Amino acid sequence: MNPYSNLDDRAYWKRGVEAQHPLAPVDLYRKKFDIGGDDRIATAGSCFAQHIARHMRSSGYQVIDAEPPPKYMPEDLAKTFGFNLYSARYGNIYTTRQLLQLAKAAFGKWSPSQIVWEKNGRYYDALRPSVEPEGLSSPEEVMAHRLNHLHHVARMMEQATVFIFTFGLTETWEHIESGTVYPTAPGVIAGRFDPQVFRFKNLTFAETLQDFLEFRKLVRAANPTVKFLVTVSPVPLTATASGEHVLSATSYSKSVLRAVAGQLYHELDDVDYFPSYEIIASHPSRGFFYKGNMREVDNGGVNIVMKTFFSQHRPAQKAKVSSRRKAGDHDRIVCEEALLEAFG
Amino acid sequence: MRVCIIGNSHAGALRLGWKTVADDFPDISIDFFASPQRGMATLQRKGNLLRSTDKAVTNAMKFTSGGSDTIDITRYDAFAFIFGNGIKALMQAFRHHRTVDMQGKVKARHLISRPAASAVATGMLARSMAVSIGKLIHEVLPAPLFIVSTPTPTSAVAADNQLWKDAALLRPIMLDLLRQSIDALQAELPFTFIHQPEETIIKGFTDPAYSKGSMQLSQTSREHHDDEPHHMNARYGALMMTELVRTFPAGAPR
Repeated sequence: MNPYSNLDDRAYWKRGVEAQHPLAPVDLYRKKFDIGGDDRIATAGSCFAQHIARHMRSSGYQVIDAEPPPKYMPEDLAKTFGFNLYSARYGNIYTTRQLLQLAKAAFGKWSPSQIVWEKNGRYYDALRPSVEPEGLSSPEEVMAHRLNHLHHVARMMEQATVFIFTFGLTETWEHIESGTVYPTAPGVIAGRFDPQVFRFKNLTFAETLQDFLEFRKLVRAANPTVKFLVTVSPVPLTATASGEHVLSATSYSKSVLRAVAGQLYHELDDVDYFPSYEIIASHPSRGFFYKGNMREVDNGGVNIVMKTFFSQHRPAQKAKVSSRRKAGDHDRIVCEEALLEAFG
Repeated sequence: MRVCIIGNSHAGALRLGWKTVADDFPDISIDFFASPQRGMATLQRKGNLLRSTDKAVTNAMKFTSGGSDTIDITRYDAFAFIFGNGIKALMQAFRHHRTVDMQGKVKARHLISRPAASAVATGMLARSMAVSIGKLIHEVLPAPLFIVSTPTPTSAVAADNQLWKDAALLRPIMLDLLRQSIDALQAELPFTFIHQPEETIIKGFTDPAYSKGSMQLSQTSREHHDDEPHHMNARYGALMMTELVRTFPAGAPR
């Protein structure tokens, strides 16, 4: 008799991994709490999280859409304007610092610096520059849109019963004086990079953990019964400004995020961890779920991830999906990181 | 010149108006095919014919055309549509989403940018019955297509409808969006848009003089009630038909 005797198959590599089909994980995820058809689900995170939101919506879950698109806006254009990606139009939230900033701003507890970025006479919300691809006509219009957006974000955070967040990156760009971080480097979508004003920031384990804990505290103050489900995006970095090789930088970033997610899961009853990272990125899947660039996750991978999730959380009644939606948006993911690849 | 007009209940005003001005345009012959609301969305093309499998629509087509329940595309030199295209539909599209310059007495739930608003207007026109049926027709022949604006309601609509409280502010913005959407769709389907003449508009609404005595599109041909804000009368119909036929070569003033 020893502590490893009589454990479930899932506890042993041989029976839990080696003996399993590499593309069909068995018993990898056991839910900590139920997520059902009555839950009001909020989603946010890096671009991989868009898959989760889309699949949950089409499976009949009540995914909050605090900022729905106008009725006649074509589906593909709606995504271009940041609609239908997450529970509000905040675009991709790659880091926990961004997430914390969003909650603080939504609850009126903080205001970012350098909010408005300019490009070719058009103005962008630096905290979500991708949601208006052509920008806005003035800094005042940016601020009006931002206020309206934050109002909806606050309502969304108050109403959610489950908040799903996909950790994406640790690397970000910071306004030196204020500490405000942005989803893209100044100059990528708009703005101008000035090394005297902005600097590269690679969040540590402690910072990432602390950011999420503070975010959780803020949301729970407004919504005490909300629960959190965290995942780690298996999508590697497009580029790194850390000075390291991009593979090493990816490994660092994902390790920190996975460790933070693990600590949150182990220490907090209201935080569950879902292993999408393990399903896609760990070596038993042999990179099978990545596209040719070994970075983007293909539909097969997303389907396995969601199948694993739904094996524990029974989908609500299948939602009606319009033919328009079926045809157009199967795997169109909006990811401003990819801009680095296009123009880098 | 043979012209086919396909529409919904608003075709009634055009029909009544045409009766009063047809003699001025002896070289133009017009057939009307109409069915209330979205009935004509059921039209399908079989060869050169447009027909509906919906009995009520078929009956309405027979009634409005004077006996025919099918449209033979090859019989006509031009087609005009009157459905839900125009300021009224755009106002409804922007019920909850508005740009900063659309903010008046009523504050929008969601702010959107001007490029997003343009995408909405273009998307709405692209998905309209007029464009769908126009495409079916162009599968057979490249006849000139015309979209006649749905009338802007009279001010009676604002009595109990927040949507119209800022009509005067919104009208020029909506017109601009409408023009942009028309331009944007030309590459996909060339058509001419017949706008509602500004002389019929007072402070963002249609002058009630163009509404009084409007008739229902039904076999009983009853009048709409007096404060019905959406449908217009024969006087309005005559004005719009004159605007329309003057764009035809055969409709040039003599």
